[in-house]
Amino acid sequence: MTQVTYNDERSGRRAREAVQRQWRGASAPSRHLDPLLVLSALALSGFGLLMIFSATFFRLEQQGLDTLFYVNRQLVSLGVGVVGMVAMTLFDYRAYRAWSPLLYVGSLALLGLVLLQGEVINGSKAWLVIGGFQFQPSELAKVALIIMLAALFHERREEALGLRALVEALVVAALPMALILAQPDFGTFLVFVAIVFGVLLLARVRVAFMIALAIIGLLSFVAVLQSNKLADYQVARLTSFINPEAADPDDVYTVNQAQIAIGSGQLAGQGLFEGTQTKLAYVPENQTDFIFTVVGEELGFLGSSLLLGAFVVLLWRAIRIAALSRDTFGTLLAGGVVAVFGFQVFINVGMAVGIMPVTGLPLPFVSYGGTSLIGSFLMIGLLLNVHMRRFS
Amino acid sequence: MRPSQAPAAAAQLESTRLRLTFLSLLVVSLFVLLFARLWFLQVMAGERYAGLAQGNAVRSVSVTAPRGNLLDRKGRPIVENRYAMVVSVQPEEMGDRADAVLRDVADLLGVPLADVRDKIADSRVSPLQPKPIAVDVPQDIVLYLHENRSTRFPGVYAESLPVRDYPHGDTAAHVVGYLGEISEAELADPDYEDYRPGDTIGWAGLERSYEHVLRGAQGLRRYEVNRRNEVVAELADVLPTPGSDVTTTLDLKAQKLVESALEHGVRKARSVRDTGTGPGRGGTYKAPAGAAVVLDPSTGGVVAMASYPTFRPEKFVGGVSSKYWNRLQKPANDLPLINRAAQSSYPPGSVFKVVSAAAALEHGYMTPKTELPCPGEWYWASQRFRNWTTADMGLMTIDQALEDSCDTVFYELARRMWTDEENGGGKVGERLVEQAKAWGLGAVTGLDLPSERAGVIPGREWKKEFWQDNRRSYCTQAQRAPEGSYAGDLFADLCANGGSWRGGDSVNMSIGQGDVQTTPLQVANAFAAIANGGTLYRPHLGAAITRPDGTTEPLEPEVLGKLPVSRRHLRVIADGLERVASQGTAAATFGDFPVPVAGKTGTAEFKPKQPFAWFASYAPADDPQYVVVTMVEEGGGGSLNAAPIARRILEGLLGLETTEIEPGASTD
Repeated sequence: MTQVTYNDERSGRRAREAVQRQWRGASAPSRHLDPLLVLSALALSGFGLLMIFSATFFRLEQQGLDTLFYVNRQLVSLGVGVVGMVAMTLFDYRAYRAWSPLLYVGSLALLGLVLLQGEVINGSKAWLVIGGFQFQPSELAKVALIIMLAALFHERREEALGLRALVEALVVAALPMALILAQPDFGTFLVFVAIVFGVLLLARVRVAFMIALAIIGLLSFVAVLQSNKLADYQVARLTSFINPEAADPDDVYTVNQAQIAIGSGQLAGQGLFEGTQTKLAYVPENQTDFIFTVVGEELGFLGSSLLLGAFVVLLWRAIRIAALSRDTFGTLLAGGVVAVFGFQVFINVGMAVGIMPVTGLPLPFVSYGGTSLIGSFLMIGLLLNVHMRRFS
Repeated sequence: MRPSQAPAAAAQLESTRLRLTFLSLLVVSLFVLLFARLWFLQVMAGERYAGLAQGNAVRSVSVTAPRGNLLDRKGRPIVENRYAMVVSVQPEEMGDRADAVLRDVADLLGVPLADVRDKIADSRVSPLQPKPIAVDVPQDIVLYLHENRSTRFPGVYAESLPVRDYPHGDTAAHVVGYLGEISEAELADPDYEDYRPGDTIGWAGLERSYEHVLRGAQGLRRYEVNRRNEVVAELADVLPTPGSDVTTTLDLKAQKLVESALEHGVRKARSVRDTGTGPGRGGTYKAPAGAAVVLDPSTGGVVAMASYPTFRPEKFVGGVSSKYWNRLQKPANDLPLINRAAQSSYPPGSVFKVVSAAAALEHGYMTPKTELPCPGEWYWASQRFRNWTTADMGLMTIDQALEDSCDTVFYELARRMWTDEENGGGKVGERLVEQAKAWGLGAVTGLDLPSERAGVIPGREWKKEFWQDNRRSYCTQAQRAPEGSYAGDLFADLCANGGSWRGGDSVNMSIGQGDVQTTPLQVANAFAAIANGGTLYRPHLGAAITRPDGTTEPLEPEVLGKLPVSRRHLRVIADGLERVASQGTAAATFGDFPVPVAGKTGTAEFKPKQPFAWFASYAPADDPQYVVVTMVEEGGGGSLNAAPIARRILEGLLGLETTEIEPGASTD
């Protein structure tokens, strides 16, 4: 009986494999994958799983819980993320141009829904809870905005870009950004600013416009700080570099402990799973936003460099893809992704080492958090898509 | 708009490439910044941070050694240890939430918030030390505190600590004493040099006198803690060395008996009518307090020592509440913390006559056969001195004078001694004073309890010094008093001649009055010397010290000296004391006692208070096993209210049938 089933399965599998071989042969773009890009993303995710385990196993053990609790959940997200990445490559990325308004409006709808139905976690209404799973619409909105802005500027690729195009783009960007600011999630808001910057830069918006925009942005930032529209703790966070006295003591504590953790790693680290700062949870949120402290403490300067090196490879491949793209749309998509990853890595690691304010952004691929991981893989899928189809 | 598409496209491409280069450079520069910062943190400053991390994670905590036990002579524990859940608070860690946290924790523990604040404010405790606010906190509350500590109860700790346990409640409270936080003054004392703020030390009783024996050595425990200071692992342990046990000479059974007899006796005295001539006459005796001591006359060991009113040492566990402390300190509550057996001195009254009799016999003013008259009143020049009774009791020998406590016999002896002393030109010593001092009166006995009172044996030297100290006050009062008034004359005399030892002083002293003051313990020790044939021991409570390794060091009895009284004369005095019980002033109480008892009643005037009742005794008279001294403040006559307590105690000690405490006769 068992024998028969086995034979059946094997024959079924053979049939499937034959079909798959046919498919592979038929789709030429699959021959132009960027293995280095995928590898760096997967390596970073694996690195992340290890670090998440290190950050959480002791606490879970102390509470008598499954030490792999976080790791298992992250593995599920990784699986979903890889599937999402593959799915992103199945259709020609140029088809996304047509879909972009729908994706954009869909993401706006989700961002609206989260304000109405969302769960408040760490002071922000950023999470939708569906059937026991939490997810952050803003992570998907990043992808949607990149596609939308890229599509918008692609349409005008032949024109000299005037003020009108700029204003249009800014309005498109402003809608999701306003919704995100309403959560409030200032960190993610800044990521959107980075996306806008990245796309505008590669879309060849005039330098004068960009400088003017930067000045207006800065002035309005200062105005918001002055206007009492932000909660005190937010102002304190953002100005703690200028005015350390006013900083939230919890933040000061966290940043302090994060630096102790990273610094104590010294050159080679305290050893995997050996970090006391990590194990004893001196740094809060060290499986999510402050996961870099685990890397720093346990693996030292060498391990941190390895991690940052993987990001450098990833960004190098992404910029290369932007340069190699056969059209403006592809370049802009890749540029937006570069902006997201580059900005998040810099802000996240910069926050952990104390040169950036505490803004609560995950480290892409590494931090615990399903939506961020899936969103990151979707963006890798986008890059792959652009790369694969550069000749077709 | 543009002239040609082709160059424009090329320019566009150029521009894109330029901008990609710019983007790349931006990314590279940001990463260079991160690497540079990491290099600084981890490689250049790494060592310093590693030290900080170490300091973060490891905490050293001293571990209180369980204190040694206090045992009775048969090894039964009087005070031992138990582990109790103690909840402490550290307001510094609560930040600006202190008010809310303290309110919540007080609610949870069911203690008034005021009490919690009170304990925090206690200046005797170092501000750095968590302050214990509740002892014996139930398990479910401790679990609740643990669960909610990070959110609702920062700075609130629950620990299982060894605390003192009193299996017999307040039994021997004055002897064992109590514990408390070490004071600033003690910390400065070289005796306590290895103590730290917040340590608990013996504040009173044996807990204090044997502090260094009982304490043991603190252990050190190194913990790994997380950022909420929760212990996650124990790294190393220097185990605490428990304190040594102290076996005492106390007999728990006797102690309970004595305490109960004293309490009953004192309360009984409050219902007895004061038929005397003193200030309380017509009413009943106030009898606010009393003391009782039982000594083993062959060693000086304290078998029982009681003071009434008493207190509850349990109340000091985990820090005494200021409410209870203030109650104990209030004079209106008769200062229950004072061990009246050793820390209070009183005029001894007629129990002192044993000393006067010994002085008279030793210096030849009396022989065992000589007789002196015992009139109801006795004159020296124009000054009249009364006996305790107005009846003339005829001629009596010295032992008879003790039996009937005849004051006038002793007045006459005092007059003769004083006259010789005055005429001796310095060659004749002070008979009564020297004798009393040789009996251990007027000086601390050296009992192993803190704050023992010396009492007073006056004399020429003493009086002169006293006068010099107080002369100014006498003279001012003499000037202020109306001229020709009694007070005016009195103070004028005191101002001019108050420093001289007059005949009246000797007369008063001979019956234990005037300035004489003794502690019940001193009297007991003196009677122990009579009982054992003249050896004066140092009264003591410590019998042996048992170290944690099981070795025992016995504390040998110590001989202070011999009474300067011949065996024969001592026998005369002992005979007199036996007859006190069988047919003398205490016969109403002891006349039917199945075992021969030797004793002496005392009724000490201490105006304006009601007289203090004394009874000093030992039994069996022919083979003394126990010395029993009882004293009731403002309890009237010794035969009336002190002897009945001693009877009840002796019944218990000797295993006799027990009787109710009944007031005795209204004799001396």
